[in-house]
Amino acid sequence: MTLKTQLSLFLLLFLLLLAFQLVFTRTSQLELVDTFSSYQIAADEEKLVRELERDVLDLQRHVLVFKDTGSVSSKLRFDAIITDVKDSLVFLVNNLPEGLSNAEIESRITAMEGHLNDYQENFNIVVSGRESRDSFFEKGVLQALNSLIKSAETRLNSQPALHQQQFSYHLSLAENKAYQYVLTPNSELKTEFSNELAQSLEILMEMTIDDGSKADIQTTLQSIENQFTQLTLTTTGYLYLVNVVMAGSANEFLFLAQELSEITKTYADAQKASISRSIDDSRSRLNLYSLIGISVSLLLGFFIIARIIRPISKITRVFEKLSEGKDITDIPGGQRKDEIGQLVKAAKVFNTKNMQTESLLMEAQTSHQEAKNLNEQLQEAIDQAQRANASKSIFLANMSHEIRTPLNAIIGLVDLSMREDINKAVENNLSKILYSSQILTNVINDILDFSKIEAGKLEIEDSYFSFASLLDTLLAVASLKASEKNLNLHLYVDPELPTNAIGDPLRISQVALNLLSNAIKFTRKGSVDLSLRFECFDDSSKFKLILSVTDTGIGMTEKQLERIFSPFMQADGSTSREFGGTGLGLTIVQQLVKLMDGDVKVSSVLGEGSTFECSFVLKHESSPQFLLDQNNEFNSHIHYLKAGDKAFVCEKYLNRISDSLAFATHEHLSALAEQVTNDGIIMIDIENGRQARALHADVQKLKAKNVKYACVTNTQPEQLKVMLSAQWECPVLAHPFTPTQFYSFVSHLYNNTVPFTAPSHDIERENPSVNIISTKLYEGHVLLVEDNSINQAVAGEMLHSFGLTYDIAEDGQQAITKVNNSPYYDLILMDIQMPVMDGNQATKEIRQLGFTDFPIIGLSANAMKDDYKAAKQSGMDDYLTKPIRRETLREAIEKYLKVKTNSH
Amino acid sequence: MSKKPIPEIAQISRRSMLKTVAKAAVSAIPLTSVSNKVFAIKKSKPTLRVLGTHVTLQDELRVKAMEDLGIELAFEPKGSAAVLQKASTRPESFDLYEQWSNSINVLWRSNAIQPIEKSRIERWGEINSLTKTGKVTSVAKIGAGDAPYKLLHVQSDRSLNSNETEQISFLPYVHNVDSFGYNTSVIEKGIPYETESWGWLLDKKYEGRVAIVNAPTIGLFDLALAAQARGLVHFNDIGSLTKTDLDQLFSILIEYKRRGHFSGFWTSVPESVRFMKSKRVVIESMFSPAVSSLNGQNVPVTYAAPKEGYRGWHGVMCLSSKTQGRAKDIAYEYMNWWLSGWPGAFIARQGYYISNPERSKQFLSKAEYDYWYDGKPATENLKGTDGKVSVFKGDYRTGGSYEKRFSNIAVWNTVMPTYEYSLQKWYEFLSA
Repeated sequence: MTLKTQLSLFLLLFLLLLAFQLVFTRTSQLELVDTFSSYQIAADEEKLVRELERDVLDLQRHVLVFKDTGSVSSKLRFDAIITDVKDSLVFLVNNLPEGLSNAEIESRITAMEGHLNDYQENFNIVVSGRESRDSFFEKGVLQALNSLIKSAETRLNSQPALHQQQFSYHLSLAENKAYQYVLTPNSELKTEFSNELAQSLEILMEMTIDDGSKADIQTTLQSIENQFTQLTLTTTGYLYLVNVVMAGSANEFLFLAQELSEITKTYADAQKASISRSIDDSRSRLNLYSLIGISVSLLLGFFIIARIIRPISKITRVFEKLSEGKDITDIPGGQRKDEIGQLVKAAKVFNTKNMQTESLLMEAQTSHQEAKNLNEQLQEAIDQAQRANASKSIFLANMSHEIRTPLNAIIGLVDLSMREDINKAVENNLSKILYSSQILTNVINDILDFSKIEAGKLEIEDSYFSFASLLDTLLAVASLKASEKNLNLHLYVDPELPTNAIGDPLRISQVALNLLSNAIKFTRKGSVDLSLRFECFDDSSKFKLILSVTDTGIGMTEKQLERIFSPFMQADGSTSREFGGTGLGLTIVQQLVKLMDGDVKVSSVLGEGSTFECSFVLKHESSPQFLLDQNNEFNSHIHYLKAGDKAFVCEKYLNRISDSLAFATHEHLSALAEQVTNDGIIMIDIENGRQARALHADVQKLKAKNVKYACVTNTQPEQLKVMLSAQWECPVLAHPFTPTQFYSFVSHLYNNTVPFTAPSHDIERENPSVNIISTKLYEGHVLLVEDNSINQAVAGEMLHSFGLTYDIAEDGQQAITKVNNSPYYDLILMDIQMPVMDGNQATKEIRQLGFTDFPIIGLSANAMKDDYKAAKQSGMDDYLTKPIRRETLREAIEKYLKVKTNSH
Repeated sequence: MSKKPIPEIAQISRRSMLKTVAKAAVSAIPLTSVSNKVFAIKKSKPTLRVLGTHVTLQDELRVKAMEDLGIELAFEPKGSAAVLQKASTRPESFDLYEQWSNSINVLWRSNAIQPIEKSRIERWGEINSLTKTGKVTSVAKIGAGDAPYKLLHVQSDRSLNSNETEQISFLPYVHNVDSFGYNTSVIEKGIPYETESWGWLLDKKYEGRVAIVNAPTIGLFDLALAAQARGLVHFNDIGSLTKTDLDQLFSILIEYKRRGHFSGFWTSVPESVRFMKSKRVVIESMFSPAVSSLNGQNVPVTYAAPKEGYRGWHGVMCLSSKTQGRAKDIAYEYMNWWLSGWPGAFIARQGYYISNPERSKQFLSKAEYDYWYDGKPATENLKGTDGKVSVFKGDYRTGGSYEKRFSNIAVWNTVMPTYEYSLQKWYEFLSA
């Protein structure tokens, strides 16, 4: 049984006791009240009965008085008492206390009423009897006797006086007897009365009077005797009633009254006894309950102390010990099945847990130590790794620097060598060396970029740039590569793209070129399309440039798509074998895009091609202009003849230049040639020479009619453009072209005075290393600060080829010394990374020394922005990235030095 | 002077009348007067007016008499005192008077009644010796007081005594002996005439449980017999107590009364039945019907045959001094009817005797006659006049046969010369 149950039982016991006590008390009280009221009623009844007894005795007294004196007041009093007694009886019967046997009482009261009525009735008879007696006595006896005596005086006067006296004497004696009888009735007096009358009659008989008188007197005497007899009968009659009947009634009434009194007294006593008994009972019950209550309380107290408080304090001590971490061997009360038992179990569990916790703590401490050691090791490993990574980055940077330096030398020397008169075979080899070197340079640049991004050292510029020049550059590079594989290259630019924007054009180009290179690389045939769109933000100061490159290449599988942005990864191993590359391109793209708040998406269908789409967030210039303004200045009807399903020129471009546009196919040309007037313009898509030949006659007609017409071709075949331009003497627009080029194409079409040349980006492709070499010579003395002897040689050779003289300083310190000693240099080429004193420091000091009248051009293998910035801050005027290309150097030199007039 | 009572009491008890009485068919009870008057209204036949007590003025008798005689009967039952009062003062108000022998002196002296011609009593010869010689048997005690035979014959000087003449003051008919009854569940049953004694009434063992009939002419003798039986007093003539006797007697009785010896004084048979039945008393003066009633209610009451002898009473039928002519003839018819057998048998079943028992014998079964008259055990259950069994087979009448009982008369109900004094003493006694 649980403590809760046990305590509840105790409480229940208490409540029951209380309830019983209440019920009993209540019941006793009610009983007491009832009993008490019954007692009072009974006591009252008893009192009333006693009064009745007194009343009846009173009645008897009055009856006696009346009997003896005939007192009227007694009679009245009698009637009053009778009425009272009757009322009392009615009251008695109507106010019986409950519990008193009604039948018993009522039968008695009924009997009493009966007796009372009889008593009253008989008294009335007594009253009338007494009246009769008085009447008999007064009239029948006394008056008759007196009148007889009087009449005798006259009627008997003739008789002897003795006889007369004797006669009267006996009559007087009779009268006397009558009086006596009335006072004390008895038979002797009756007889004596009769005797006196008889003697008077006897005397009368002896008298000598007439018979008539005699008879008359005799009759009177007879009447008197009769009257007296009536008197005696009446008297005994009412005496009998009073003395026997009424006395009996009264006696019985009193007896009943006594019984009633006894009953009510007994009842009242019983009630009284019951009251004291119930008081005693209540008291003893109260005592009992109090005793039980106290006992239960004491028991409860003992119970709580013994069963709860003591065990709990023990367990509390146990828990205290446990909380202090001491080990407990024995816990008392474990055998109990109640809450205490559970508590003990809990304590045991606690103890066990305590021990377990302790051992666990030990283990934890050990393992924590181990973990700490491990962490330290890990930290060390991380540090090592970071150091290694840093070392790697530094290594890579250094390596690329170290590689680039000789590579620069190679490129520079090959560049120089190719300017010499050499035979074709050597030139061809040199050309291949140059090409390979350039590839190697690109690889190194990629690695450098990657390292820089990895190292977080790549920063995005915010510079003002023109999309036109960006696109020119992109197309120049991409066209070259595309044409190597005879791929069509298309550019589409949203005509509403702003003319200029603020951002990092170098990195945008890098991304675009990377994607284009990849597309071209993985496309065997078909086309590569570059598209530029933009989206506006709510923030009008910015917009999102979306650049997408779509190819018809080999495509990728889903699996491959997942991995392509990981560094050093290509779509798969076989790809790298087939297509080469470092596998860094897309990684760099992704990271650059990220740096420019954009993202890269790719979708691809294996065997059909891929689409890469990346976005950049750029800032608007303060008042942006559209790349192609919709001014429709030409506003001529344009007949566009498509070669296939799709026009080579995007319809949006066309809409920009004219509202009136009609598409048709080649078949319509002949009809058109017949109808057209020279206020319209005809554009013809030509896919190949065969199409051109088929249309040749009609074109001639157009030409003859002096109708303006032009041709649009794909990138391939390349010679088609030249051929059409030559044969049909019309402007030819070949893919890829920029909006600007399109605009200029259209302008030329309308107005032949505007020169139109084919895009320039194919020039370099012809033979950049040869064709572009300038033969310009410059005047001046140059200080070349360069620690690396190969670079000294390359740079020196280049300077020499520009007709410049130069001194060499091995480091910054030497440079300062040389400038101080002989301050006649027109230009300083200052390498940045040098021993003793680096280029920046040297430049700073030189400028601090007051030498500000000659330009200092920095040279560094680091193409990082910080390097550039640092160089600018140190006081350099320009900054070139190694490997130094002769042309690049020349362009820089040309800014600062005069051209020699007597050049060759 | 005059004698006998029961109904001096009845006046009081009228309202307390119980049905048990009707069953007991007895006496002192009232109540039938109203129904009687119904018949009195029929004037077609001559009407006989009978004044009396309930003992004999029973409706069964009236109906039977009217049927037998072809006359109208008007019964006027009253209490004894009232009957006597009315009869003695107003003889013109009745034709026949039925009461007790102790009233004869009063009536006779007040000229309320006239002599009855023996010659007109058809069955005079059948009337037994009790009223003729005073003895039913040769050995019988005559009994103290006014023995009926002493009042029967009208002498030439108008006095009444036992000398046979042709005129009688009353027609002898119903009579009986009285004693006391006691509850045998409390008091050990005694032996009749041997141990049973009037003295028991004053035995202190029964203090507080004794009742006496409230009538000086009756109860007084019960108490006098009791006191004498216990040796408390001695009377020269118990039938004519002197003032001294009375003073002596009542001084003793009043002492008893004050001690609480007497529980009550009954005034009617039903009341005496109640006293006994309720155990209020265990011994009391009783009339025969009360004993029958109590036995019928399974209260074991024995009617004692006291060794001192019974208190006897005799009914009288008197002719009004004012009744003459046709009415007188009818009155004689009615008197003769009473001796014709059936009425005697009828009252025999109530425990009363008739003066010519042989005539009634033919109207009783042998068992009935054997029981009621011969004192033999009942050979079968006997029914009372109410049709219910009042005597169970095997019972026998206490005191024995008619002869035996009337041979043991101690005293007759009597109106003594000290009657008025006794009334006074009685009052003192009751009020003590």
